[in-house]
Amino acid sequence: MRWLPAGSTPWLVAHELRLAFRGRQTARRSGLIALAILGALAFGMGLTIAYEMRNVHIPITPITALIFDVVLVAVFTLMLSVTVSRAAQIFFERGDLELLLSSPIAGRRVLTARCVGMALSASLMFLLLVTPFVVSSALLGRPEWLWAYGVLISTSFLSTAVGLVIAMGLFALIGPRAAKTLAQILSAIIGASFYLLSQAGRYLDLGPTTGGAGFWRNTMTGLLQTGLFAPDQPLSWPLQAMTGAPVPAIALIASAFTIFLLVTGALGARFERDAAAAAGVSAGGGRKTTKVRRFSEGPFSAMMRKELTLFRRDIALIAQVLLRLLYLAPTVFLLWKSVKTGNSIVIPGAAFLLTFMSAQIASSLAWIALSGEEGLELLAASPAPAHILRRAKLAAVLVPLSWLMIIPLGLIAWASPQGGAAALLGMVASAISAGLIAIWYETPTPRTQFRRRPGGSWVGNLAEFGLSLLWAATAGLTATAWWPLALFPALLAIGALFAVQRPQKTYAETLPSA
Amino acid sequence: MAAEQTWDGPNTLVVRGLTKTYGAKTAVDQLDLTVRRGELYALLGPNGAGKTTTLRMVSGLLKPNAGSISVCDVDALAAPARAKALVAWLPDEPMLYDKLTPLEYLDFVAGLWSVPGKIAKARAEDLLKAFDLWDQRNKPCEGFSRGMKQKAALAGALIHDPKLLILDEPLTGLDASMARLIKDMLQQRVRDGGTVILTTHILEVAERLADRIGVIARGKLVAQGTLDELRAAAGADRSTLEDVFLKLIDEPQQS
Repeated sequence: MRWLPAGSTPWLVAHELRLAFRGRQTARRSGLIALAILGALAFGMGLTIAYEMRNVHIPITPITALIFDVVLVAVFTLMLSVTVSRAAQIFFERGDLELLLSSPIAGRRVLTARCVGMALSASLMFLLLVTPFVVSSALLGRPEWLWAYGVLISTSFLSTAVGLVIAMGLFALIGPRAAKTLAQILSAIIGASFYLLSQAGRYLDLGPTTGGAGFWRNTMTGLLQTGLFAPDQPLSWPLQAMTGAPVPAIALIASAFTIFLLVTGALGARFERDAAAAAGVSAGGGRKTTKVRRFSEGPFSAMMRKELTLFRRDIALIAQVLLRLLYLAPTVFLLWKSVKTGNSIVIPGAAFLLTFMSAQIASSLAWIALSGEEGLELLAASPAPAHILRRAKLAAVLVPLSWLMIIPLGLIAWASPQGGAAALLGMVASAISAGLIAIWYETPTPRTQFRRRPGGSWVGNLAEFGLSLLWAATAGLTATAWWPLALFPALLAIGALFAVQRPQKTYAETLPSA
Repeated sequence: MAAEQTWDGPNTLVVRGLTKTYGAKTAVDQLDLTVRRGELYALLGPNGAGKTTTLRMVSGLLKPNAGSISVCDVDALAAPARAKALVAWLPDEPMLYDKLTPLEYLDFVAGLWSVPGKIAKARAEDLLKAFDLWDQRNKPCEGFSRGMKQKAALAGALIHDPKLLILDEPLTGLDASMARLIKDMLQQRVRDGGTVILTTHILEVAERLADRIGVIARGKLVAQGTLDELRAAAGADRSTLEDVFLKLIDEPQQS
């Protein structure tokens, strides 16, 4: 940072990146080894694909251009999902914002730097994903693939600009508090939108000859007939840019960056005003508050009530759960259709998916209730036994889970009582597993960081994922005619639970200074 | 636990030979301390002297390496839950849940200490009114000022009517009127027979409020008593507490 002029936009960007990556430098040795192995595997795979494709030149035709545009739209929606959520947060995550805005640096510059940081972090995952292939291709004599970086980065800058416009638009329309809530929910919907759209054929009753694939075939044919994807049309530029044609690549990148600069430039002054307005407003939570009519009797009910209240008011958690439910929506529709048509072939699949999904939701809720506990010292100072408090937390996890899963579970049970029983078994077992893992691998972490779960054990994370799969397999097999086979994954899951078991700590033992 | 609630012995807290080490560093070294019932005891000492570590051990948050702690004649190391039921601990940074309202927070804390619902509700109303938080009772704590958070946390500490109230730097960052409110409340508590231990860096607070003052340095209690007794111990008659304090922490071996 020293060689950058202090107060300049690059200097501010470097500051943003330094803060963004500082927390990730303290990875443990085991984590670094795992990362190195994963990197080596990814590069091995990238090199293989690059070698196979060293002589393949993708033709620029309407169909290839359309396919690539569809992929790019999918990438754009995923990036937009991140940037909408982050753009709303930049008004509330005070951090150093007040320091920066009280300095002589222009608000526009602060916003630009923050947005550059946002764009780079939104594109990071995709850049890491393509790097093994792109770098290997460049080394094997196909440097034109390096333009992929330009395409991805410009897409992320465009998504940041759009995300910022959406967030600030919401801010202006409905005020800071509601804007943050709505932005989080919108972010979840945008994140799932492409997937939901891809499943559109399943929702629409298109008859037995068309179905999902038929719907998309018809749509694609219709789009190709418009002539908009011909090689001389702008909609073919993304593919041309990706395959190394310099003019479309430069045009695409320049357009994205121009839009980005215009948006941040135009909204800079407004950003200062809005950030100042947001400072006086508490982040999240609604104006409406629930009155406590009757006080709790004892630690169990007090803890359950507290956790349920916190779940209800945690917008980020609600958005994540909503996202998972959106991914479940096509299955629910499929179930609905199978119930109507008497087709029960989907039941085992639905039992599998429902169990897996409920395990994931239970895991998020259990983690946030246990590791995200903010009042550790209060719990440690209280006479309430730790095991009672933890049980109350797990009971609180089961309440929203039951509400969320009752409709799909009811549908399965209606279609097939055996399938319903299998799904119920899987859901209960997987939720208990997720809760136990959350207790055994409890790591006090700020609640706001539940998406990243820093400091979490990789054994715990792996066990949690593996157990979700095993219980889902148990539920899926139980729903079939070969239900005795379900014993194998069930026994494996129980064995795995015993293997990863760890002694529980008291709350005093989990305090940092203990 | 009913016996402890009606307890009326002479000493609320008796600490003997309390020791806490972190690796090679001894944070608290063979500390003896007695705090009487109905007394406001101020624990003074420079930064890192071992005040907070001592009080965290008394509150059951830290396990000592050696020594004994007795709260209202309950052995806090042998029966920690019974001892904790009698104590309230208020750290310098208030422990509140941002997304809970003060009323919900008090409901939660009362539940942790198993205060019957009806009693807890009545106490919560009294406390919130006494601390001028009644109008804010249904607003999330995240929007509160530091002073309001401190008052809500203090209300939480009092909801189970503790025999021993321990406060770590309770007046830090409070404006004059809030500091006054808290000081008045502490004095009232002591008049009603409660016992209060507080640590403070504001020597004037200790001088004006405390019945007895303990001075801790390098993990040892170097002196304790009334202000006059401390003056005598430091050989500094008619000096201010500040002079006495500085003399005592500079020359621990003389006490």
